[in-house]
Amino acid sequence: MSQPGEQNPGTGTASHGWVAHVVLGVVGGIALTGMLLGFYDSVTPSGQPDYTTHQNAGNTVNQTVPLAVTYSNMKDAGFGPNASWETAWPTTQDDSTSFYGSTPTDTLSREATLAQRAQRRAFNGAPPVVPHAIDQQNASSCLVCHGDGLKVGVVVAPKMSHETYANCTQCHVESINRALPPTTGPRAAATLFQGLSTPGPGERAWPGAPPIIPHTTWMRENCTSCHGTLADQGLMTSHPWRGNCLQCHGLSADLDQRQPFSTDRPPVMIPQESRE
Amino acid sequence: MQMERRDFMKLAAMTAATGLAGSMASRGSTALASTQPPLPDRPDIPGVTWEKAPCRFCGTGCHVQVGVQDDKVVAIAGDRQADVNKGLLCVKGYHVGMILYGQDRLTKPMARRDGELVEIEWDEAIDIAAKRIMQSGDKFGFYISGQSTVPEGYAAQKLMKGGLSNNHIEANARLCMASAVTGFLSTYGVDEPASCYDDLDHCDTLILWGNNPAEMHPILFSRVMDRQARGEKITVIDIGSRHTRTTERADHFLPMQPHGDLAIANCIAQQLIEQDAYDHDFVEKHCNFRADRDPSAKFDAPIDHDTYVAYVKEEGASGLFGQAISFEQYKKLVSYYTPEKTEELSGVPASQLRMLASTFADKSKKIVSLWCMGMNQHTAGTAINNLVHNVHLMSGHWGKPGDGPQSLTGQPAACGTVREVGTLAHALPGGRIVKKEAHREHAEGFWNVPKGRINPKPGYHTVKMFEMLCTPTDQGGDIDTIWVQVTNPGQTLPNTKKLFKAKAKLKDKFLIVSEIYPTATTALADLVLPAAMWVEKNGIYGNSERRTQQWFKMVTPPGEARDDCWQTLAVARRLYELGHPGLKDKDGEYLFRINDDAGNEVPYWEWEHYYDINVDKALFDEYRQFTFLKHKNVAPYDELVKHRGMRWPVIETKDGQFKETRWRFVEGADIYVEKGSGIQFYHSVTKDNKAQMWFRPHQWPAEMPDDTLSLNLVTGRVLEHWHSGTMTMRVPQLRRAMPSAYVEMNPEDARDRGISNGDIVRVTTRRGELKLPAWINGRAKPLRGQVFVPFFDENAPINDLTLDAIDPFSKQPDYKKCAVEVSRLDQPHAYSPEDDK
Repeated sequence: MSQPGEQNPGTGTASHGWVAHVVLGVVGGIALTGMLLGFYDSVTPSGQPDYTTHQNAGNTVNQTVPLAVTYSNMKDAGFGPNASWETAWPTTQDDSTSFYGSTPTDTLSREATLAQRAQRRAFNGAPPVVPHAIDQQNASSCLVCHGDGLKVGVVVAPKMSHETYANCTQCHVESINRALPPTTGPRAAATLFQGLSTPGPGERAWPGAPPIIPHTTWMRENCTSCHGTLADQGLMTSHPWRGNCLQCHGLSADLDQRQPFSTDRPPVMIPQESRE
Repeated sequence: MQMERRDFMKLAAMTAATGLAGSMASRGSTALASTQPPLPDRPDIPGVTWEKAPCRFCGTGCHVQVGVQDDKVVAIAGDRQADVNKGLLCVKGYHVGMILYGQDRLTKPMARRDGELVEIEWDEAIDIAAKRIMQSGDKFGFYISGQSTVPEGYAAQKLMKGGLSNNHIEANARLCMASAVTGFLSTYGVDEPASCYDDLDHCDTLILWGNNPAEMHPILFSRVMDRQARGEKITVIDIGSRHTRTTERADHFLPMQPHGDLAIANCIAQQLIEQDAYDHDFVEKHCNFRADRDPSAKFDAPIDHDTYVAYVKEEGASGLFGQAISFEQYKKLVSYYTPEKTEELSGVPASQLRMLASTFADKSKKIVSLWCMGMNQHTAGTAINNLVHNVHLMSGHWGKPGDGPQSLTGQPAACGTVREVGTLAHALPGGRIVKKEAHREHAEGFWNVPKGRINPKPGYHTVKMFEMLCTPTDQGGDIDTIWVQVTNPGQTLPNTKKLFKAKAKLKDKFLIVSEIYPTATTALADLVLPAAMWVEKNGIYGNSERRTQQWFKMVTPPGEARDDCWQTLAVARRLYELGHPGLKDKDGEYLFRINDDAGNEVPYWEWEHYYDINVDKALFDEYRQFTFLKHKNVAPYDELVKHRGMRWPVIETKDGQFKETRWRFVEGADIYVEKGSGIQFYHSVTKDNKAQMWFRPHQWPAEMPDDTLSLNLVTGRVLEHWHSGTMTMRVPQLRRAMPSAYVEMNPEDARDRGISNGDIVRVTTRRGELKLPAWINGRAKPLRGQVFVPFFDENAPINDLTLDAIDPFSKQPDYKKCAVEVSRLDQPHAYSPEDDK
């Protein structure tokens, strides 16, 4: 947007400098006036929105896409995936600062964290569902928040626990589809599936020894995703400043899913490629 | 819905609490024991065992690790040792274990009495089925599936063709793969892709022909896109009629009108010839030219396109294998498809067509073409398959790692069970056909049945078989009984009102259905047999890249559900007991006799003895003998046990190793290629080791939009659901993410009709109408004039509306083209049956 009276040092020669100033001032003034008028126009005297709801013979499904709101109402609109987020500026800043100040895990917060985890996946090890609305057509937007992880207010966008794969929505689907009516009929019945539950704490060689990792590490190579400073308190490590987790915490041999078929790949006929 | 969510949360909370209690207890004991630490609790769940299995869903053929505890599947993980998926899965794969545990699993045989299905005992059920089949004779049809295991398919095939001398056996792969088969046969003389998924690790250009792998084959798509994410340069060219999640990642989107693909592929050939950029050496050494008719029989000089089309219209096509034509004639015909003409036919701008052709002209590129239902479900499906092989052959982008055409399948054993075992009305195992006497003799030899046992006349293809079931007997409907296994034709056949639901009124027709859940098919069944599924039984699948995959039974099926293979064999045994002469071989022995190591016959037809021996192994190793003729050598069962699948031909080397083959017809990679020939199409139709390059003209779809029904209807799948949704809709995570069907429209088409997002609208074709919510700019965005509806939703059976037009060679229906109108409910109906009178 143009700024009124802003000077562009690259404009005009010395003898024509004053002309540029006047022109820029006029242009900027008009732009500013236009913008303010634009804001003003959308606010009706009564303070009510000046749109009418689209009437369609009563066949609109409820709970669909929210209606657009006017600029004047936008502050209080409460729409979209971020509706529940705190919008006051001081609390929106990233507060992932408790690098040396984190508190050790307590049972209550661990319980809360694990219960929330269990809600978002079919079994321990399943890819979590996405608790917010997503762009149905664009997977790469996930990385904006989940690439490095992000904490805004109380809302955490965890860093991915695994390396970056290109097609996020291939594994992670919305927890509920907000655009379509729910399933009806026999297929809507609950499942009898009971998934693998959350593991207990890792085995320790003796009290005080570092526990081994009680879960598989496949797709969970990045420990800080769940145990780092952005993590919920229930799973957060007591010593986030130590960066090399596997130096102390061993993998569990019991959880090596390559068993019992740890055979080699079948031999192949020599490809043309390798003869070149 | 509320109820369901609450239940789920309660369950989730309980699951979490159980884990928590365990962890608190062990933590407590560790903390208290300060002097003498007790042995710590084992981490995680010690009772969980992990075993390999191929995923139950699509044709990609990923391997999963199945976590089993207390006879139940409790977890799934990607298998890192699997070449196909290298440890990754898609959302369906991660939740595949849950498909076993829907509340309404069928657990007891049922027979229809006075219109109601009532529970009966297994013995009675087998008796009803056997007597009905005995009575029906050649009016009986067996309809199985690309999800049937290889031994299931082989048992059904042997029972029908080797026992009952009845060729009315079909599989639902007719609806998804038949045009790929006829494409391979008429181009290379033998079925199935010559290339493999390794190409996806080497290609630098990916061309998608009406294909949306980001949703339908996610593992293969991300195998390429993950390379791009790691910094490799890969160009993706998407040719399609819908802007999808795949298009979102594409460098070029070529917006194609229906059947534009035929013109586009011809245009590439035209450009390669015009610019003299085709691979002269490759074409000369390895290719012949072919068409429906050879005009030189009537014309002295090569004829032009329009004359040729008129000539073939008059003379008719000369079968699947056509007639040889000269290169000069081919050039003359294909010269019609200039970029400008092709733009007119396909809607794709000429500049983009030139770009596509120049991609193929560039020898330095490594190009993989992928296709699946977009090209196969097509009334010119055989033709477009031929044409895509053409452009790769002509440009020489063939047979090098990362450089070649790759046809994808939609089902886990469409290749293994249907194409290889030949569970189709015209086929015998191992690439044989019933019409050929030598092939019948091979099969009669392997099965030890008298000469002449196998009927030389092909049976009915799928659409015909169900049409005959739904036609009254006194009007010539000469199929009166069908046994359906592992598929749901009541929801997946085209034009289901005509081809399936009409059966409801015909009281003398009988439907036997082996199923796991109630479906649109069991709704009309007269006998329902509860089936075991996936890891509740032993099995073998075969994926899109010739990979045969074995797994073992891991958990007990619920209630009285039993293996489909056992059901077939139990009925076969009952037929033997009833005295059916076909169930004896020529020495008077039982046709399906299986001996134990001591040479004693095992009574495996009794369920309690079914797992006394490995029936799968016995059947598979018998079937294996069939596979050498067409060089489709599958590995012995015991080799498959050791690996996550092996790609045939699997060669036994002198040192006793079994080696798989990655690239067929390529010297070095394929042992059957003669030294020094480089590439050798050793099953060539013309017996000269050459592939056939086809001229196939553009043709319009069977039903086109008009003034009344002004749009085109495309049906298909979505990421979360697989086929008719019988399994995936019973997984809460998948169901909630995609709970119901919808109609997807171009925003401008919606605006023209006053339709907003979420409106319930009327979708009308000449076969009927359906009410659906509109979802605009949702999962994908069709081009103007195109409408998309997924077919997974039992409550919105879109196949009531689709057209049953089929490809003339493959007999595969076209689910992607028919005239449709979408209107608001307060607008008049777009069409009424009166309009046709």
